[in-house]
Amino acid sequence: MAKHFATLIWDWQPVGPLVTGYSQNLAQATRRIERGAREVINLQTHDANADHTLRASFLATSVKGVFRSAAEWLVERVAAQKGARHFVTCGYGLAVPESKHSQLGITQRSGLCPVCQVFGGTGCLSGREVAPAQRQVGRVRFSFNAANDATYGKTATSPRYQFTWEQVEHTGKPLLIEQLHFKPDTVLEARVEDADDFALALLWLAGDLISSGFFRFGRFTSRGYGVVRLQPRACLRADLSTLLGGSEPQPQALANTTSGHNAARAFLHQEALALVTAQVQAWVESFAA
Amino acid sequence: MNKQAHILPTKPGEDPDRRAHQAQVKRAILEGQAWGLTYLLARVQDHAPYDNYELPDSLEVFEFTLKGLLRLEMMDKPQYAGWRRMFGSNTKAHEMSTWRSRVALKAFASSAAALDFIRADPLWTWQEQASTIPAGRQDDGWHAVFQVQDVWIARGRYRWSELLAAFLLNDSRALKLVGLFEPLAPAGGENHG
Repeated sequence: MAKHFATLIWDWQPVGPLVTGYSQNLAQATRRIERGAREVINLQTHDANADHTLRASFLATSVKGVFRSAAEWLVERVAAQKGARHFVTCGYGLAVPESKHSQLGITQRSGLCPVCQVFGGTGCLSGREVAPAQRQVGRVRFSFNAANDATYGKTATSPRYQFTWEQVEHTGKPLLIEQLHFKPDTVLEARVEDADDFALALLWLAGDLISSGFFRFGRFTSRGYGVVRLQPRACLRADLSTLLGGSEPQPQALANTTSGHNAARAFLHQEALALVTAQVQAWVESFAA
Repeated sequence: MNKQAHILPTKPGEDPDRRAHQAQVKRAILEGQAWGLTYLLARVQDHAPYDNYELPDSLEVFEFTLKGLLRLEMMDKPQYAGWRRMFGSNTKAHEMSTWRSRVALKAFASSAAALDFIRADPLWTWQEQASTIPAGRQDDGWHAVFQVQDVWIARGRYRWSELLAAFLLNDSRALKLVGLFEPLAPAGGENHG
């Protein structure tokens, strides 16, 4: 069967401004703030589409990590529904201290977990000696409009934030935060190699978990960087010969699809959760074999 | 008659159970994942809930301070104090990369705005039946939405969302629970926490 490539496109719709600030230590080291200043400053990268000046930005690399986290949570949830009694993804398995491995049933096994198969990995559940031999590069890459690795927005300064205990004790300087506001036509793209139905279903459902706001970009207090709604806009899947052919194939618009779940139904003509469940169940059963 | 003083504490003092409290949260997150997602909706019932603390004037600043307010409100209440770290912890957790806050927060100007946000959640489309989220009102003041990644706690007797709901219903002076919605019910029968 010919290898297929796919592009999934979402409208990037923040619910309010985002904050993509980095640590005070880094900000001080790069002389963006004075030592001791209570500010959160946005990351800056070169804008490839403009005049190459540094601009406040949101990076696609941080997007992949959150998609992976959401996908791991979903796979673990489905595995629990299918009777798994311990973690089945490398991400959750790695989070368990070695002293707890036997208690929590974290056992060495070969093979890449369903999440590593899409996002890349080394089969961490295999143990450190085996893992490097089965390293797999991720099949998915994220980018913003026009294959840029970041999206850029206008910055605005937040109101002066003060922590609750500081308000009570009348101490501390207010915290200033640089907020990012994006253009309304920002889109996020995922480019997928070897784009089977499972990979597309997992990405669309992970997008729904992020879009819900339960899984947020960043760890900036309990609000994360803020909530971003990801509305599926279009999808293209084609084999290499088609992509290299004379007429460039256009993505199929996904009209009236408010979720990745519905997008999968419209594009794959299958239930996304059923596709993920089938793959995860086989992985769970392989533990018992 | 003297009005009873209501003081928001800011100092945890000497907590002889500090290590035990840290350990029970770590254990719950490692062993008691419920794989469920729950919304709690609470309204602001008092903008000056304590003699030494008033809510900020700005909704945005309120959202920023909300986590800290709840942690302080829980601090001197034994049934909740040991679970404050479910909001996240700066304790060095080493390999426990998953030890981030188990609740995300967002504030709204009215119940109508909060319920619009909940209704727009794409996870409702995963359900076989359409969700029935009420409309809410435009004029009933500030509301807070809690998005809980659920965990079985207290050796599996109840969930983190249930404890938080009980706190918001009975023991917070600032907030009052008014709604609970569950886009993804807990999965799997095992609970340890």
